[in-house]
Amino acid sequence: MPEQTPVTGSVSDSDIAWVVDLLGLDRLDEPRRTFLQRLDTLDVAACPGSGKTTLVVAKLAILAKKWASQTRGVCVLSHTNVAHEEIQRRLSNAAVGHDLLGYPHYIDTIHGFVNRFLAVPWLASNGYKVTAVDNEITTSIRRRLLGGACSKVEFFLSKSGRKFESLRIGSSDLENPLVGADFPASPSAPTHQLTAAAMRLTAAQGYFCHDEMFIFAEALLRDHPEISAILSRRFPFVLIDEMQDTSLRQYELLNALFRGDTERVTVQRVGDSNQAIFEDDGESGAGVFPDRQSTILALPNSFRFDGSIAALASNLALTPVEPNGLQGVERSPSPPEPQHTVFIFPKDDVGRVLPAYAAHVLHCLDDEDLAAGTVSAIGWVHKAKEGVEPGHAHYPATVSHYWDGYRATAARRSAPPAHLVECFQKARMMVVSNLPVGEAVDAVASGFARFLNQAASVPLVRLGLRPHRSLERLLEPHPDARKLYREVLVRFVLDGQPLTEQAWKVLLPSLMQLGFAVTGSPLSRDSSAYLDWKEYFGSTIDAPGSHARLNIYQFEDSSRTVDVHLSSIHAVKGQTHVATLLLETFKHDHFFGSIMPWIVGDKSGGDQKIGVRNSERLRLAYVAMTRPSHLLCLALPDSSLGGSSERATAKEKLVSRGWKVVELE
Amino acid sequence: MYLSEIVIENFRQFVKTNPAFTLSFKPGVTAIVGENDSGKTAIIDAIRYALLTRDTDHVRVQPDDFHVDPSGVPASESVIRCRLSDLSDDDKGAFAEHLTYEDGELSLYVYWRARNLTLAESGRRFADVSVRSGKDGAGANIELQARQLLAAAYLKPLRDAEREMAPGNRSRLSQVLLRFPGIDSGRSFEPGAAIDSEAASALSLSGLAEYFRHLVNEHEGVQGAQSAINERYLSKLALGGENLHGRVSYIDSGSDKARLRQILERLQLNLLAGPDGGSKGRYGLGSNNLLYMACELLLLGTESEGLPLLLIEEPEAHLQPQRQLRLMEFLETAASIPGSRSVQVVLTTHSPNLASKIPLNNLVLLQGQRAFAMAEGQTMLEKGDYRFLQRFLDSTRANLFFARGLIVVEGDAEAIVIPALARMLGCDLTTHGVSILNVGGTGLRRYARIFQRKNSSEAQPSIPVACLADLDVMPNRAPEIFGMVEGDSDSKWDDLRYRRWRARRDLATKGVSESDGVELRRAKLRGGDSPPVKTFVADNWTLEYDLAKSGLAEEVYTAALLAKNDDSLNEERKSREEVIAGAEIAFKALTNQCIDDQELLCIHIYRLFKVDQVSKAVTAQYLVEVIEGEAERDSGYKDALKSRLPRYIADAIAYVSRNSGPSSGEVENA
Repeated sequence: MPEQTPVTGSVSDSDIAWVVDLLGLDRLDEPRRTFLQRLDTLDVAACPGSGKTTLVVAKLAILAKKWASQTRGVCVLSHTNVAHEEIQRRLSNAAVGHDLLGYPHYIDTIHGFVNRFLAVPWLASNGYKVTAVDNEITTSIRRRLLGGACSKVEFFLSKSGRKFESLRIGSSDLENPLVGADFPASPSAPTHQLTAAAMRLTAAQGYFCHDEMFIFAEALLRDHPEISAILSRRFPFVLIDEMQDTSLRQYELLNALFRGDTERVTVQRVGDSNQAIFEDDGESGAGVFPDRQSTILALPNSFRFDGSIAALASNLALTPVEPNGLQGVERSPSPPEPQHTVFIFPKDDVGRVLPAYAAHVLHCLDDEDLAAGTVSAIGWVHKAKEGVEPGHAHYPATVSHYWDGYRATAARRSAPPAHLVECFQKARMMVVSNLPVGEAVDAVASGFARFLNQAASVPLVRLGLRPHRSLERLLEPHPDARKLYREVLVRFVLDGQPLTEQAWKVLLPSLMQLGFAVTGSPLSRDSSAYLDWKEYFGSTIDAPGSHARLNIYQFEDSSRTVDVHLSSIHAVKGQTHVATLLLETFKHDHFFGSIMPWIVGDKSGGDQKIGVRNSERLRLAYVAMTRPSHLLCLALPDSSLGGSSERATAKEKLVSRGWKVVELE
Repeated sequence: MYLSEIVIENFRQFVKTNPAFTLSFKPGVTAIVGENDSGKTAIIDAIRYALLTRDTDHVRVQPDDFHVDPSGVPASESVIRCRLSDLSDDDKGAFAEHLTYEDGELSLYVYWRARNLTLAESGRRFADVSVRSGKDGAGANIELQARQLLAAAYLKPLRDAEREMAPGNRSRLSQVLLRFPGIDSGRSFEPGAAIDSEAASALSLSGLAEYFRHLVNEHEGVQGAQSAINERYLSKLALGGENLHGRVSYIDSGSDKARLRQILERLQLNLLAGPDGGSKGRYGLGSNNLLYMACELLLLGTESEGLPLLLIEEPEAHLQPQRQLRLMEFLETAASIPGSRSVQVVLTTHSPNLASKIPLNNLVLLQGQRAFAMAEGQTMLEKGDYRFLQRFLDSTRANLFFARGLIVVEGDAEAIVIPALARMLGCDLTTHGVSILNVGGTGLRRYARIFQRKNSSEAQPSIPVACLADLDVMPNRAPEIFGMVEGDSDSKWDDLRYRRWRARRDLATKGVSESDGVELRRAKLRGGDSPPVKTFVADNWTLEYDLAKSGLAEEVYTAALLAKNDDSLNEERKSREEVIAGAEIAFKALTNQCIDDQELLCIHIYRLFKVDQVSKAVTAQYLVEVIEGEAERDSGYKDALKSRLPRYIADAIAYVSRNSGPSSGEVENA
């Protein structure tokens, strides 16, 4: 059988012209053109605002057009669901891209890929089904199987600072799930045996935690090394997006799979190691990517901002942006004086920071600019810190210090609320804050799902990507229950009827009825507690002129208003803002206080000598400072500039770098 | 890649058993044989459901696809599992996410499961079908595009091959040709380029279509019509300043691929008398079927992707026996046509003619909800047996695959007499579905071993197989009566090595009495027995002797004399009555000669065969007539006969007819 070439011919100028026309692209500079053209193994260092997703979609569209195999495909992996869904959505808009969405191609997260191609086949081959991959459900089933012994195990674990929910299967030997696991008791101890039995039974029912799937994937690779050749044959072209965010474990697994030594397989990895920031601690592959020195293609030109922002952020790039540093190519009219501002405030008085920033935004940007996007104020740490008050050495330590209306738990990517009513309150907040209604609906749906799962003591609904859809499917045989669910959704989330304690009390019996109808059993203690009333922020969501809108600080001058969205740096990764204010916070040390030499321009980039913490701070600062399209501001206490003798010099340096310095007295 | 196994639970007549119904396939041709309603069609349909088919016929689960138990309750779930083995590197890549890793072997399982929703009150559909990979269906959902790579070519019985070969939208022929290598070769048409006849013949099919479109558009009639519309009407209807302009043009099909498809859909396949012959007009269904199969095989063999599997139901439906044999020979070679992939063929048949032509190795016998592969290693048959049976298993003997019970006999005489005796016993072998297999002297055991499984722990076919064997040991007085020895002290008695006959006294050896020796011989003849095969050994010597000895002495004698005079009777030199009357007198005389010595009487009767060389087969025919004549004349004869039959024959008939008689139970809907 003759070898089939999956891609017919090379990428020609006319192919590029075709895709430029198809997607309505403009301004393809030379590095971008090169990226579209090359079909060999390659690492791409894409700067913030380089339009990398558009470029990836364009490349995939070209591949789709030229693809000639029905059994071999393109594999596109990303780190987050958001990223792969974005790629899928944009591909589906073009008829040709539609071909890439199904077999034999594959577009998903690395997790999804590992599950589908490695872990699930390994488990299925060994007689295990996969019912759900979900940390929460899996942990709750393990707890339930332990029954009364659970509190004993939890107490035992807590003595050594461990948590039950962090417990994971230790090896692919599912008969002995604690072998290799971090469990501080000898295998003969009763706690060990009970816990092992619970984990074994949970596995037999098909419930696993996300990171456990890697163990099975690695087991497959170990037992059947040919899988590497098999996958290379299936996917002669692999494109990995958000490469900087892969963990070391994922990185090594991908490398082992797509070595390319069995057959020609092209691996193109796109990412920006300077933007590798993690919410969880853990080894990342960031330090290693890009590692193919000879085949790095740099995309140094950002379409997000102009040269002034690029110049201020460039030297915070941990790895210098090749060849001449970060470039901003967005054309903007040069203002007469510098606008990007460093607000310096007295250490223990943050009160004027947000008003000054908001006023500056209104001064610099007209309504048209403001309508184009978000105005944000962000910091590394955003959760409230008890006991850190003005006067404390760590103050200001978190975003919430800058505005007492800030609620970290209300952030979009926070842990699920502990009560159903809070899901309603959160959802209403989202609607009021003009966040996508679908997300608000899903917030309520996942609350209902949690309630029903608790009530049934078995997972009825998977808390997947589309809780609303899953719930609707579950409720299909129960028309009354579904009617009630839809009704409360409309009344309290969409129409905004105030959900008072009184209204909740009226609603409660029907909710319990719903739980009974679906599960067929009386409510468990957990699930009825989940229905308890809970006050939200102590204020009413829909009060006129309320500042309680979801972490939005509203500022009004004589004629105009501006909404400042507060959040953590992690939460705004990948976003573009109109204006961004980076706030001083504290973790291990003050953020700006630690990286002042880079802010004032004394230092540029970094190597291992600067330490892990400062490396992380630099990446965070780089991500934060490359968000805005128009206006970049910093807020730091005078103390972060150094001792009183150094402050004047520091200010001079800031000015000479192009900052406007404003001192808030 | 080939289909190596199918497991079926609760689908149609296949109930969920433990172990589940399992059928193994080998690469190449597998022929599933079995009586009606044994599940041949259910197996083909199960493969079609699980693997899909290439035709445009849509398969949909029907409510009666779910097995219904004897109390009338339909199963809540049907499962069909196909295993595909011997995966190429391409196959492994194509199904990377669906592979199952078993001790050193990589397989692809397709696990098809239908839940019966008619049992639940709600729901508009009556079945919920999921198709996953993995041995227990624990793998990922298999997407439709991936499943389509496995789709089999399916030739249904009584299909309308003529229609399928006809031109038309999405015609089968166009689909076949579309995938044929080189069908898209040639140049595309460049508008504006000069086209001479040489350039025209270099065009691809879609190029020709474009060229044709171009010529149509340039045609003066078309041009004339266009200008007439524009000048005579549109220009006059337009409002001031408006510039309306019409254009007449041949429709553009869009892509090259669409143009090619449109051309191919206009092609038809006709049978010609020869390469230069003219069309012979309408051919019969049989010929069209051959054409259709050729077409499907062409496609299966030339494709580079997917599963080359061809399902044929009842190829005998439209083909005369000679064509059937040609087809079988062809399908076997189709497994390895140079330059194309080896095609796996699974076919069903209830044609003994076809079954006899298929190597035993490739046969699967379907019986009692189980599949019994006849492949080497599965049966008790030895290598030599396969060669023997390949030569001697003709279409008459191939009936054994479709029987509910089987009596294997050594010669024509038994084949003729046993059915008549059975009828006398009130057991019609035909209505019981019992076949008589006449091995014609040798190979009694070889045929029986077809039904004996190597693995005794697995289920056995529930077809009772009775082997009727002669003991082949003469009474001690016989050799002298036959003139083979003279007296008890004849030295020939000691020449055991140089004579082929045995008498009872020969079986006595050191420490073994004569009667023990006889029993040892009997036991040895039964030695190869294992369910469902049981050997019934003549109580004394041979069929004729034993019939005479057990009480039919006069009937056998009369029949033998009739046979002796067969030529005279046929040439009407003697009358039947004359012979019978003579026989009666002669028998009386013989009886008087052997008063109270039944053995001696029977030896003398047997002398007719042994010394006078009377044909046993012809005797058998007359014996049947004699017995049936007696039964007609004397109403008590039938009942009396029961006690006058040899034990071993009565036992054998009882054994093979134990399968509850004529087909019982409910009538399945076809």
